[in-house]
Amino acid sequence: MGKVLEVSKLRKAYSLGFLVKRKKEILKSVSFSVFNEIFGFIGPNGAGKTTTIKAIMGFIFPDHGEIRVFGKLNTDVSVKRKVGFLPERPYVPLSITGKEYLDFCADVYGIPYYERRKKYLKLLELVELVGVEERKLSSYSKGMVQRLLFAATLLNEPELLILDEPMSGLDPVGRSIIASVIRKLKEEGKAVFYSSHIIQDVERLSDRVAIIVGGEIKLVDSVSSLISKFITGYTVVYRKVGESSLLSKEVNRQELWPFLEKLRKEGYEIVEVEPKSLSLEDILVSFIKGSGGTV
Amino acid sequence: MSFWPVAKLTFKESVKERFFIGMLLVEVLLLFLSYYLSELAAGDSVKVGMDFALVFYFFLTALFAVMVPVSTLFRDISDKFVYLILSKPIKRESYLAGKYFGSLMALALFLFASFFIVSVGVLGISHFARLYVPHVIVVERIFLLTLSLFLMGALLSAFSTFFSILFTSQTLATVVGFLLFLSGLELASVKELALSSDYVSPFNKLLIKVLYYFFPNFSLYDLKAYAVHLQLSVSSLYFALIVLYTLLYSCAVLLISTWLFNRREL
Repeated sequence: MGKVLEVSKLRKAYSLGFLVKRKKEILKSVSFSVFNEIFGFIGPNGAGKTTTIKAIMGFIFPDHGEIRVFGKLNTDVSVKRKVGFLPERPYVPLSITGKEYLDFCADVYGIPYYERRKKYLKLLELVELVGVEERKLSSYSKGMVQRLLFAATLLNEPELLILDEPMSGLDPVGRSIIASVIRKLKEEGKAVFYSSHIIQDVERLSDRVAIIVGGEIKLVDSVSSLISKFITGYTVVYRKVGESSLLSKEVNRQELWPFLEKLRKEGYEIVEVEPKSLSLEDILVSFIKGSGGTV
Repeated sequence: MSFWPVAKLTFKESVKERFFIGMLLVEVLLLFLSYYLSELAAGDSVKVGMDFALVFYFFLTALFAVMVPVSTLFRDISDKFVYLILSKPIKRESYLAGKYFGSLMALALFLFASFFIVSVGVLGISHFARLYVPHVIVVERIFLLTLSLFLMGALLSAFSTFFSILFTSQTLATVVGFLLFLSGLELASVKELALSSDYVSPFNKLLIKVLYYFFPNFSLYDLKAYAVHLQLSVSSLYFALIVLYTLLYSCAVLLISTWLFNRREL
């Protein structure tokens, strides 16, 4: 499986202060790779998520490091044909209509006029906005604008979708629409790289996650493996042989095997051993606290 | 040609703004004002009225040429719409060219509408003043003035684009753009005055000469007198030269703007 996005040793610092300049390092050697998967990028506010995304998209210039998209440097404009991007809290000129914005995107990608209507309809159905495309964007709600822009990012059928906080500002219906489209894209073999602070969504959607805290990548792992690493204990469900009533007990890691041995010796049948793990949110919080940050 | 979608979008965005219709309405109001001012004139009331109408036309065009590129560029950058555009296969230079040409297309439409408004207004002033002015000649002259205003707008828009990238405040970019226009109008007179004066030191004369050739000369586009005074004429060579001047100067300003924009973090 080839690397779709490769970020290596990315560093970025900003100068602060008017007369006396001091440097604040925002990204400290950030490295990770994204394959054909849903990759969640999580971290607290100010951790460097948006700065990393801006560097990937070429809006800011890193002090050090390299970013490759489909093996080419991110500064190569041609790679953007295969990429869709949605920024956080996106804005579009409100005096234009939804269709005019879609037309703009179609013009950029050179989509012929006779194909447009069908494509627009398919995308608008996906984000449940059919019938509003002729209306000015000023009459849309924030969530509708975000859904329209999300649909527009799919117009070029991107191989990689980069989304900065795609769920923020959306109501539960909007979030569920975006989540289902992301899953659909994964099924089609496309890669999705997205940042979010809604950890439940990340846990639900992502194959792998990277945790960034204070400009440093703390961990890159699959969600399932990450959660299994943070098992805090187990719930053991058991019963006396020949009896139907179930008993249960919570034990920690160290107590598990002696307790199971004890049950076996005493003639109990073990029905289920269910691991109790920290949620992704708890794991993120523990990383933030471990780095001296605030939640 | 990746600048073309940006140009189209900028044009649509600009002409759908209230500002566009607002400027045309102001144009109509100022024409009425010109008529009433001509009534107060002691001398040739038609010429005074036409003078006022064309002065307003001239300055409104300059205001439009400064404000449209500044407002669309600033909004794109401050509201991050530029992220959506540059995330597509559009180079920064194409984006900037698109914004510039989109603004020029909006200016062309504004001048097209203004040409009709001003022509009707100027002919109306002469009609109500009960003085005969040959209509065809006046309209033809206003048309030539409109073309020169388009060229002036093209150069001014290039400077507005440059200031939008240079400054981080929209107000500052607009004010500096308009000040540059005003100074560009007066630079030729200042140079004439300084060079013929005995009180200006040789160093200052040299400085004024350098400034004169360095800064844009917007008085070149001022054909108001030609439009009003029928005995004046403009040679086709003069017109060809101001076209060339506009092209070269605008290209230079846009190249510097592109160089700056390519280095700017968004």
